[in-house]
Amino acid sequence: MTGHAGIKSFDEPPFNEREILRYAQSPGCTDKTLLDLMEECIAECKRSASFSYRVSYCILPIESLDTDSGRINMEHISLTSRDLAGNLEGCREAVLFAATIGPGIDRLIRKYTKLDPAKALFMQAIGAERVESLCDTFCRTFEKKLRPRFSPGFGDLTLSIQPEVLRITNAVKNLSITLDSGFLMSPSKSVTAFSGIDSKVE
Amino acid sequence: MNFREFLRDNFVILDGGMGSLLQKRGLKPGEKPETFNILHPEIIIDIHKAYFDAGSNVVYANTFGANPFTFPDDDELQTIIEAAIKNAREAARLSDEGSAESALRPKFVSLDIGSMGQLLKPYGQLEFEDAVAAFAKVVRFGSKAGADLVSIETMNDCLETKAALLAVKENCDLPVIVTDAFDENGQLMTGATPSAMTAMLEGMGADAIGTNCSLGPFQLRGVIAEFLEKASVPVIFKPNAGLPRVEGGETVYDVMPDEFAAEVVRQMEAGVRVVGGCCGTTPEYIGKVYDLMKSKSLAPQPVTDKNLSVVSSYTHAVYFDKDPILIGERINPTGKKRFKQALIEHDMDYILNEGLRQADENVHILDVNVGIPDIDEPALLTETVRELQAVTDLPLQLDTSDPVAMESALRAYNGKAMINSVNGKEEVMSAIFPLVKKYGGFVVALTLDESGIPDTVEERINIAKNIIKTAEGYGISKKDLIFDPLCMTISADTSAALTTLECVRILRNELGVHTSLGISNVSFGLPKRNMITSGMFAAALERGLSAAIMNPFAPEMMTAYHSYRALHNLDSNCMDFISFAEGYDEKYGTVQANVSSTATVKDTTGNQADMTELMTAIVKGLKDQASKITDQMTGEGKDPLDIVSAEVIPALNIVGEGFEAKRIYLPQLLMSAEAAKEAFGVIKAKLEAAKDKGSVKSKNSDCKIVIATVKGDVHDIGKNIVKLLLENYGFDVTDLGKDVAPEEVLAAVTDLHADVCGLSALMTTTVPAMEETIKLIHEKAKWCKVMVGGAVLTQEYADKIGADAYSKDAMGSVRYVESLC
Repeated sequence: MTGHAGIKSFDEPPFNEREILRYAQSPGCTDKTLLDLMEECIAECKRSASFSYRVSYCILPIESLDTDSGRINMEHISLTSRDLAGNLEGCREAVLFAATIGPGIDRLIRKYTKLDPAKALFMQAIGAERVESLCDTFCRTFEKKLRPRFSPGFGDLTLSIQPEVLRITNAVKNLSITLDSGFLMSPSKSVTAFSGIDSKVE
Repeated sequence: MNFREFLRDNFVILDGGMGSLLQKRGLKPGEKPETFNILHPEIIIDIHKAYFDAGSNVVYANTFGANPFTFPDDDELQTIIEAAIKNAREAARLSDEGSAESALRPKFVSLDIGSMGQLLKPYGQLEFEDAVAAFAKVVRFGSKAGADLVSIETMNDCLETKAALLAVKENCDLPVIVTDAFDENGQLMTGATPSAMTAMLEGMGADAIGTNCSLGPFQLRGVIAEFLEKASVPVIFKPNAGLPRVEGGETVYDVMPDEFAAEVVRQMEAGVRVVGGCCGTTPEYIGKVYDLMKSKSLAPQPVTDKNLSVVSSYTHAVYFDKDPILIGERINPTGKKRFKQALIEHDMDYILNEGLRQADENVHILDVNVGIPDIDEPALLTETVRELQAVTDLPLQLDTSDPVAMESALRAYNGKAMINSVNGKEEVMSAIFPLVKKYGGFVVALTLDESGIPDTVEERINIAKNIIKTAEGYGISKKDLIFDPLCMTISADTSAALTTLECVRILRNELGVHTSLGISNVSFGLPKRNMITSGMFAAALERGLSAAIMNPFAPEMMTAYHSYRALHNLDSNCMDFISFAEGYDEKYGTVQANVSSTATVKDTTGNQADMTELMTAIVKGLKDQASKITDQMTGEGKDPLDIVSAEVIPALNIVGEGFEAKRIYLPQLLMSAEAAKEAFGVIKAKLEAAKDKGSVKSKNSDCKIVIATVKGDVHDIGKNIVKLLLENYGFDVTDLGKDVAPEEVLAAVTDLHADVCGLSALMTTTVPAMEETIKLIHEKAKWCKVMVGGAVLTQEYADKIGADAYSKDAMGSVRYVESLC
């Protein structure tokens, strides 16, 4: 697997309405008006968000890892994070990836921020659910078991490593993901993450 | 022979992939390929020469990533571009020298411009003019170094493509060919179809257009078919060698040279004029294409003018043909007090809402007019265009009489705009037509001139003929003109409509041009205006009217439109009409509300409550109902302020308490708040109409609040929710937006003498900016209480950074402010 890298496109994962409700701060809601509103938003997304489900990734051998200092040396990248080190402990390699569903959802979010805040909330929620579903789908393509995803910005893993993450995953060229001065990604519904590869086949 | 001449009569063979060949010859991951122009010119020359030997007429110099973002030092950038052009030129010489057969083929060196890897606003952070300036540098260096043409390639955003093409047009006279990267959906990453790109690129004068990269030749069949159907310039096809996969650490592609060549040549037979390869293709692929073309003795098909009248946005094109086009007229201050006020107060949300509401009525294009006296129209029109394009994908009609405003808005516009307007006056034509030529556009031409609006049909037609002739002189075809023979009110001259209608008939049927009318004018001064206006609309459509600038909220107008389409076989199985007719009563009918009675309904809180219909509408979050019922209540003489205190506020309280008790969810709270806002809107309008402005204030409006998302943070949904709720409860809220510097917050707090300042932060990285803002306010504006909120904050965190209050949600902020005021 060493040196393995590439870009993958996926078919649309099924919409998980339970998760969308959770992201819209309405877990378990059964109110019909609200559920209808969610359906309307999902339909509009399918019609005009032009989702594309793409992941650009590479497999990084872990050369050394120290959970006390948090120092991690991987091929192409060295960093310090105790939380990530704990997450990757015992793995010989990790997958680093960038995933995006494209910028169409950002336009819908902007539109409803002006027009209808409840819909804006749902568009946000749908976008979050979509990109997480994409990450799940991608991670399921591995034969070996993956550890839970760990993204820059979690715990003590600083967002400032984002430029390096995008460079290593080739996400700027492959996915057109760009960063603003605070290291936030455009399209906004994009995720970067490390995931440790357990040595044993599941 | 120059490139343009060669392109006119011949197939053009471009080169194939470069990156993967460089990797094989030592380019390391992360290393910039353009540095090889200087470090290893022999490798670059070798690759170029292999393409020339294989049959390429054009090689792309190794400048794909040579831009100011990758090479910030100008001297370095220039040196790299010069070396790249020189290497390609040398390869052409060596190929000519090496083979007599090769020497017979014309060879050209192209400056290659790729995406800068920066998303433009509104998706990303790069300003359009900064992108143009960056591309301009590359173009100047490349043209100075002696490129024969410029290729803009692998673009995945319409606006970045426009920036690059504009930079080429403004900085050299070289031919320019443009290819974008379309995905599996047949769209660019930011949504544009081949039709949309064709409209914009042809309008701006690209010499050839098409697609490259992203997919293999088979997956791009649909994209190429669309280009061939719509483009009036040569079409380019430069696909990948299929789809990539990684084998043993190496990327391989799934379409082999023979297959690749067969499909590419098949597209040449279908009309494609310029071909090559992208990722994964090698000189072998190009050689196969060349050989197959030769063996079949293919002759290029002439490129025909498709004679399409079109405008576009950054996603799609709208064609003017038999099916009438609706242009929403509501973004216009003429005769609209509320809209004028919005312009003066720079209330962009109001303006955008006018656009989005019309989009919901399914208009095809939005007219945009923001001209009022004493306003900076160029700045405001440009800003409005940008903001509208950030929220709607409808094409826009730029409506201004100020050529400076027109040019500024045309530059910013993402797509091919509709331009409103030109007329028969020499001065106007000489100001507007050069802009149309440069930026592209579909122009409304009014049949008036220096002597005004003629009374007779003949005179108006003569003006139209003169405009067509003058436009031709600027290189603007009549397919890019749409005539407005001017609708005058029949209340002043009862024969006015007949004149206009006859002009429409002649313009369409005898001059073969499209027509548009600002149709509402016809009924000016008459009662029940929509009755006459819709009659005029139907009559004009019968005479061949192509488009109307109209009010899409008028049921009569939409009835005329849908009936016409159904009657003229433009509505397949009458489906659109049926759906319009079936929704008619619900949409336009009045609610039969019994305002005095109370109804016992089970509200969303799960309680049985005695609620009026208005309260029910608000609790259930039904916007339209809330506004209609309020309208009806005020119409029946109920005191507007009583409605607020006896129904709206109690309804909001029911929802607010339900939310606090976790019985109802955030989206429901928001829907109720929106419904209440609608009711407030009606009440406010009634009070103002009764010139009773003073009494619109509730007691809460004495409490002034400034609200902002702190510097560095761009998340504003939470802040917007807090604002909406506070306004619902009658507080006077000034919203400073997102990413606001501490000094700006302080300035607003001081200017307004605000009682409360609400700050929002979503990320841990921006909490320091929040802390800094709080310190500044506590130091310089001691009277002001600061409340904070946002995903990362807790009561403990809020105490630590010195906030006066922490609010865990929007209702919490209402409760806090209520406790102060």
